[in-house]
Amino acid sequence: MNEILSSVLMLIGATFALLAGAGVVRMPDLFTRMQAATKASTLGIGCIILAVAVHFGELGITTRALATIIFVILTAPVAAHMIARAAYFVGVPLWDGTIIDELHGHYDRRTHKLARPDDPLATLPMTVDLKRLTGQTVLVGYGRVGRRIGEALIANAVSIVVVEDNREIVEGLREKNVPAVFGNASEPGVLIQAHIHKASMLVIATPDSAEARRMARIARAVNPRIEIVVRTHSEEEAVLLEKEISGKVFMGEHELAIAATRYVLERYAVGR
Amino acid sequence: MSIPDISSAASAIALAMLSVALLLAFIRLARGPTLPDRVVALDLISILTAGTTAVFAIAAEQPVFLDVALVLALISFLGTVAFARYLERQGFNE
Repeated sequence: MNEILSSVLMLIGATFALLAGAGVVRMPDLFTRMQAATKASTLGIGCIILAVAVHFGELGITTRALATIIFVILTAPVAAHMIARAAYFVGVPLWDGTIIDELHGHYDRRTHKLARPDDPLATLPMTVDLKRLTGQTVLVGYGRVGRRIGEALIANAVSIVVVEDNREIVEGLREKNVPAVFGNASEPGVLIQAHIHKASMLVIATPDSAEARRMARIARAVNPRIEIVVRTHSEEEAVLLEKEISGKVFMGEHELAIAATRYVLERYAVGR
Repeated sequence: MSIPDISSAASAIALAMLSVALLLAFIRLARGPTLPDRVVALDLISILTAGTTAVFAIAAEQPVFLDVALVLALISFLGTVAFARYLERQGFNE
């Protein structure tokens, strides 16, 4: 019985070790290689040493085997982290397929310290209830359009997170207990602060189409199923955006025309 | 198949797999375009060697090889950390 168990454990461990080797050769950049190497090999060696303990069955050997496993599990992640950190600072190139480098701009290149901008408005405070940060609507821009959308959504008890690049507006919103992040939403770090990866909808109420495209691209990359609503003021942009973003595009003049027409028609219906 | 045969067959297969893994790690060691790639490969090689030693403990019925595996794991960790510190301070001139 012991033999069968230890043989199975040994083979499982060897399989993971083989996967680690395959991973380290096949993965496209340093960081992915390191993931494959350290994770799989730690598990592999853990299984193999467990197999040794099971095989011999004596107390002294089992104790030493457990000590080895605990040691490897404690130290392998630390070593991996240090290599990754050193490699990142040295400037090892990331894989071409990398979509977002979340650490970019956060580290002081000289002292290697985390240089978090001393800006409490740029990050959501820890006091925000996590329930409001899942399935929420991210509203970019709280100006003439965004404010009306935001107020209506709040009145309808839809949880929103606002991204604005006007500090006073962000402060005002926070006073009213609406989660708000200060920053330019076309930067990935800012949208991520608004928890875009867990959001169910993104409403872009700012008028710039180029920025809107960038925001939509970031959002889709991080959260492929998010629904996107965009504001625009030009017919050509509307056509382009609908194709590129696969979201709902609202064109200012168009909506105005629809609302005015509806009013006129209602007035005629009432007058009759 | 009697019980000891299962054990020795399994350890033979495991040793073969580990050798292939070692070979793959060496390929990365030789190829790895940057220095950190080679450090990762070296780290993997030492862990795999520790694993091989442990399998050998079963194959040769000698528990003392387990201590070898423990020491190998210890030393490899120290080596990797030393490399990483050196790398971070120096940058690299490749």
